[in-house]
Amino acid sequence: MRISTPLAFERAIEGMNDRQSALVRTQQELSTGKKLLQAGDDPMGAAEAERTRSQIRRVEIQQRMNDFAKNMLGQADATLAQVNEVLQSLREGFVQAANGSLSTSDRALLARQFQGYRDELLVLANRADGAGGFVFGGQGSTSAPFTTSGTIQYNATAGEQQVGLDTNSPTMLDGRENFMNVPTASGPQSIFAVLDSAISVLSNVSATSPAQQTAATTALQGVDEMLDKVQMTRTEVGENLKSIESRGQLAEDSSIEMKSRLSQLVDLDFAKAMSDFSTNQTALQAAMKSYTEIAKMSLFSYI
Amino acid sequence: MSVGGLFNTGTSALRAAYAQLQTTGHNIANVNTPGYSRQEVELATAGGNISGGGWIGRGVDAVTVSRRYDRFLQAEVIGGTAASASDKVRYEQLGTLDRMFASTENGIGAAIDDLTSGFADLVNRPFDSTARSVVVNRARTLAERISNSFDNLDQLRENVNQRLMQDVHSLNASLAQLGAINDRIAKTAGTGQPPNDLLDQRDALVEKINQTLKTTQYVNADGTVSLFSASGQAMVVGNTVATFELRNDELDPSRLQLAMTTSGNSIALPRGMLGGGEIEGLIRFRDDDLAAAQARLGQLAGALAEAYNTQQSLGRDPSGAAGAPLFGYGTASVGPASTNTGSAAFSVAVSSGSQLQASDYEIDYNGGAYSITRMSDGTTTSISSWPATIDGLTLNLSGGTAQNGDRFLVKSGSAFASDFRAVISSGARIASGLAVSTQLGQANTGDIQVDAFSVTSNDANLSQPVTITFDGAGHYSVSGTGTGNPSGLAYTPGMTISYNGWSVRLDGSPGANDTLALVPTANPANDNRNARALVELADQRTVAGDRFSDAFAQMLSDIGVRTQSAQAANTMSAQVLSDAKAARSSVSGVNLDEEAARLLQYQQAYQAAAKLLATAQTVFQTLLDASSL
Repeated sequence: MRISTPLAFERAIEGMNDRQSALVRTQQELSTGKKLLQAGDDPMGAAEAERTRSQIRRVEIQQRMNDFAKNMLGQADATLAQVNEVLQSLREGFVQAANGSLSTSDRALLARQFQGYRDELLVLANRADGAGGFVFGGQGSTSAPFTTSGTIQYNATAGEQQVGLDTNSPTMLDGRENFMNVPTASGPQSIFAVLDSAISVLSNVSATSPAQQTAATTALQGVDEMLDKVQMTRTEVGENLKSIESRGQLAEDSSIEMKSRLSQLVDLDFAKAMSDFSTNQTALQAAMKSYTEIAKMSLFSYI
Repeated sequence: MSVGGLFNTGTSALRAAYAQLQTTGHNIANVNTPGYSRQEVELATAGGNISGGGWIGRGVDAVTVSRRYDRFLQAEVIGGTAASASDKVRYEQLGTLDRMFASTENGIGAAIDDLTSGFADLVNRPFDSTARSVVVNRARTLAERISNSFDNLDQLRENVNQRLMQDVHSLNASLAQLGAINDRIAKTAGTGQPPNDLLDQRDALVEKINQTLKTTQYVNADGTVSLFSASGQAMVVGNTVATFELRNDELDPSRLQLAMTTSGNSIALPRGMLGGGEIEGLIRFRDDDLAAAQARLGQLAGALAEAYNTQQSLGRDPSGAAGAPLFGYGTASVGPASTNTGSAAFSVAVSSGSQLQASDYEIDYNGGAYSITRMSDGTTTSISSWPATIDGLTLNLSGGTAQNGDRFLVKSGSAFASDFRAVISSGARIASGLAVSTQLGQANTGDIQVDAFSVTSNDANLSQPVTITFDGAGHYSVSGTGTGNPSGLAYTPGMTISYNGWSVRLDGSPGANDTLALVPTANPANDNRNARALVELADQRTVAGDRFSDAFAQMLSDIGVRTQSAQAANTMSAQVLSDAKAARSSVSGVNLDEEAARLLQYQQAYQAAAKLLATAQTVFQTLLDASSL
């Protein structure tokens, strides 16, 4: 085929331009460390990368809530442990008070101790969780859920506030269930009411000994019911903490997997890119050199 | 015997060789002139005189100078030029569009995830005003990103329109020039020789015009060219030239459409009739690729705003008021085509954000009946009564009557992302809680529990106290305003019970006389249940069956697929054009080495001719000497 002079030069220039574009592209990949720079490079890959990025964030969001719940439940557990101790002391006390050989003045002394434990119990019931809420805040409370004087009432909505994506973890426990629902012969009563009535009988020096003994025994039954309840709650809290732990592990694993997939889609294989760069560079040099050689050849040089 | 014959022969040889040298010089001078076809002198013998000894030749005639030109190869180049110009400009524009969405870590999808994360902190601490401020800031960031994307797309459209205006301007100028060249060519018909350089100019202009808009051309016997548009309208005939302009599309006044005025008539040229050229590529990009991207962005924006705003309205903020809207977005509108003869007017409103499509719509009135077409896929539905609901939009005939042939444009998908903004004034207006709470009876003996609770509508009786009582033998009754107080309903574990706009899913087995109460939430500031629902929006199918992240990823991949295919088309049509040019060049192009060789050849012929004249002179001199006495 006959080659015209302008065509020969144009082809050579086109060739150099193409080589240069390829070189610039490789350089861009090397400096960003990515092989997927925009969606046009790999549309399906770009879509998958975006979805994967979002999934990774979702796992992080889940974990945020899980970590918070773990914190709250840890505090709840510690509080329940303390409640347990107070109840044990009360138990011992009531066993003693129920003893027929005690005098009314002895019982009055015990009654003062019981008052102290009862007040401690109220303080624990109104324990703050350090995040602006309360351990026994039910479905949500920013002020102490139990009234502090007169007849103790539970003012928050009974139930548990929960957090989680795909799962539910409680962050506040039900104060009504744990403190106000002690089964007694006259129906469910608050532990405070149980203790208050026992304390008033036991501190009354004109009360009869049998009356006082009965009061102590009734109170003891109440305390035992409460101990069972607290144990059950602690078990539930423990279960929740365990499952948060295992979910955390799963989240970690799946996050690692997704990050690895994202890297596969987006990140550059540096070894290959460096070698491509070198190849392109050589090709550009060859194009430039051959251009200068061809440009020199002209019949006019010989005329 | 005629000495004059030898002189004439020599002179003719000299003239011919000189013409050849001149032509070679012209070729060398124009080696790099675009559109130049190399010229050659065509020689023929000058015939002969009969004499006793045979025919004696009279020398050589330079008959004409002709172009080395193949009209079939030229036609290939012209066709290739139009296709390549169109593909190239579409690919360039798509590349720009593609790069706009490149950095996904700072993209819309990431902003949605950040907002969700902000809500998650509110789930943990619903009363925390810092967490609330963070949510407001994240909503603002998301709104900014959507709004910036819209502005960028709009700017791209504006740039395309500017370029179209320039192209039309240059097209008109080239057509006028071609008319003038036709005129000059027609006037040289009298000379009987082809005006080669004018013909080259003519061809170069046709090629230039095709870069802007595809034409079909017909070369007349007198050398003038007649140009027709791809759809057959006459653009240039002789020195009569049509003019092109851009004017507002009849249906969508915000869209510039190409129109041609020829012999007093103005004809609109819709995209399908353009055939090729940069104008076609730009319009294809603007009305197809860019419009699709704008519609998808709008769909995501509208669906997102509606989803969050609705969820906000179902919840209660710390003051007990329904949650304020989070986002504001561009309003859908319906406008009549400029060719309408009737007076009908319509209104449109979004009725369901999760059903919005990435499309605008056209309402037609034909044969006394209305129909609506979804422009993204061409699906047409007939409308029998107003108001009508389609794809999450409610349309209503607000007044007037339509005439047959009337058309109306419903701008929805393309409108939503405009004016997208966060309208929530402060974190105190975020509805993290719900108006009503569940409370199991204190004395319950069974193990009935609430698995899930949600508010589905702001029913008038939403906060009315309701009590559900179980008989422990598989039945329950309901009492409370708005419930109708039914009794004896069957209970199965896992079932959902709904009244007054709320919905509760129960599990476990109740004991006799166990109750579940629905009570107004005492302090919504401390309730996190709507915050949880706001977090979960990212998992719901809120955008025509997709989640936010899926819809965004699809938008990216749609742009990517278009860009990739435009790249392939561009590469291929550029290659086809390049090959066509090479083929043409092999016939018409100047090769300097060849011209150099020819120079020597013609120089030699000139010298020989000069020598011939010298010889003729010597012969004459000899004759004179011989005849002197």
